[in-house]
Amino acid sequence: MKSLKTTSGKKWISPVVKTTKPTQIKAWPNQAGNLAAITPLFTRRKKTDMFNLDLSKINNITSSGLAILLIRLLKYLDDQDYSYRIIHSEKTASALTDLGFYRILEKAKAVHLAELFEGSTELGKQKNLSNLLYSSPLKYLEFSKEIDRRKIVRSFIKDFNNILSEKLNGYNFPKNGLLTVLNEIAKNSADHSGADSVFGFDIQKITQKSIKLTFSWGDLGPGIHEHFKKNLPPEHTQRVPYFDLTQTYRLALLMGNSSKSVKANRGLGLPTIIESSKCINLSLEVYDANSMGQLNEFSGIQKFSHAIVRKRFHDVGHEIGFFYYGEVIIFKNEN
Amino acid sequence: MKIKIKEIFGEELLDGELIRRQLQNLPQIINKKIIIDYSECVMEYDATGVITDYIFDRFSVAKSTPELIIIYDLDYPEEYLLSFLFSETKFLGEDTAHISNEKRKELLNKKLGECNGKVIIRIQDSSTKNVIRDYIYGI
Repeated sequence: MKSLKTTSGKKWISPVVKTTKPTQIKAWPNQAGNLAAITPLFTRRKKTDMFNLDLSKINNITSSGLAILLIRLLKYLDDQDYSYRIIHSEKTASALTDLGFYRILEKAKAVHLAELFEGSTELGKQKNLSNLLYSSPLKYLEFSKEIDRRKIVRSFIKDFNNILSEKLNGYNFPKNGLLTVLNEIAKNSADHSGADSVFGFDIQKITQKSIKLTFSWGDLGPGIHEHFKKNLPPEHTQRVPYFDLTQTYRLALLMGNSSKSVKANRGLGLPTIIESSKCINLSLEVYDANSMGQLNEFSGIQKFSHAIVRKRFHDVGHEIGFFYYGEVIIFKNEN
Repeated sequence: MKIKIKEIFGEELLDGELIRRQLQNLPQIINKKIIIDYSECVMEYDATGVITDYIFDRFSVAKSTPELIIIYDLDYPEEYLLSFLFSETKFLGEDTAHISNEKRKELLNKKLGECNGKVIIRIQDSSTKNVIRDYIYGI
């Protein structure tokens, strides 16, 4: 242990702690990309009012992985006021600060943060991290505090379009396809859940002529399954007790089915996300409740049987909240 | 007459209301054949519907037989494109978001038949600009 101080530089004052043992949250070493979604995070299910957030073993971080970690963390911590003790190495601390992890954690929660430096893990040892060309700072979209949520969505798309224009110069890629996917995902979070969202984005070098774009978008809302179940059209309400995740996605995937009956929502949300992903060869996963579905294996214009939907969704083994993870490999222009 | 939407409204067609307020930026429609090029644009069905209605409205004012070519550079399925471009438009009628694709296509052909019009949705490659396929409606 090297030092003990708050993230704002103030002296650490131990809060009133009602319980003796803090709840342990320990992140796995690899928090790159969608690995952050499937690794167990919570070693104890029982929550106390103080947490030890152990990030000291992280040796691989990407912005998209960190967005997933943050969403899972915020969702787990819900709205209660906790105290945290963060345990990390100096290198991890620096990377997490650069990517905006602590800024968002403090903003999203009225937290009392304290740091404990521990361990000597160095970042950048793993191959895919050394190939990381760009990691965007995490973007935190505060839908819960804004009445005109679409304004936040438009501003987010504009900013991200600027990043893509700058970073993808010389590559053969219809960026409007990716922006359409993200616009629709962001709109769904804004319109249906209204909950705050987190976005992370990375560019990774694959070969001299190709790069991989990865992103994750998560929101703190109930997810598609819970939301859809609560807003079923009248003809389906008697089915609520038997409505499983497969049934939800079977309906949500179909064009014209919307859980919101305003004119701006025409039931084109998921179909737009899926069809746009297919147009640009984007591999897109949705994580909802305790499942992961490979969305580009579906179609927004075709009806799927319950068996097929079930086949294309996978059990993750633990509650993961709600987020999307996408990746696409793109190539340099030949001339 | 070719109208490149990106040059008039920018790449992000996300705000139907804003597009409605900026419709006067579109050139005056004097030809009977109009090409609307949505290449490189991020499409939002609110905005595309506003543009579709405006074009058909101009055709009607000019009392000309409409021939509209809509170009896009993402290879969406036909069903999706029709819903995206025409659902809930004044031209096709309200409550057309939740009808079947067959009905939507039938309705579009019927409306175009009434004014002897023709619509081609042209999908072209984003880099080579080669035509991938055409979806043709009307006469």
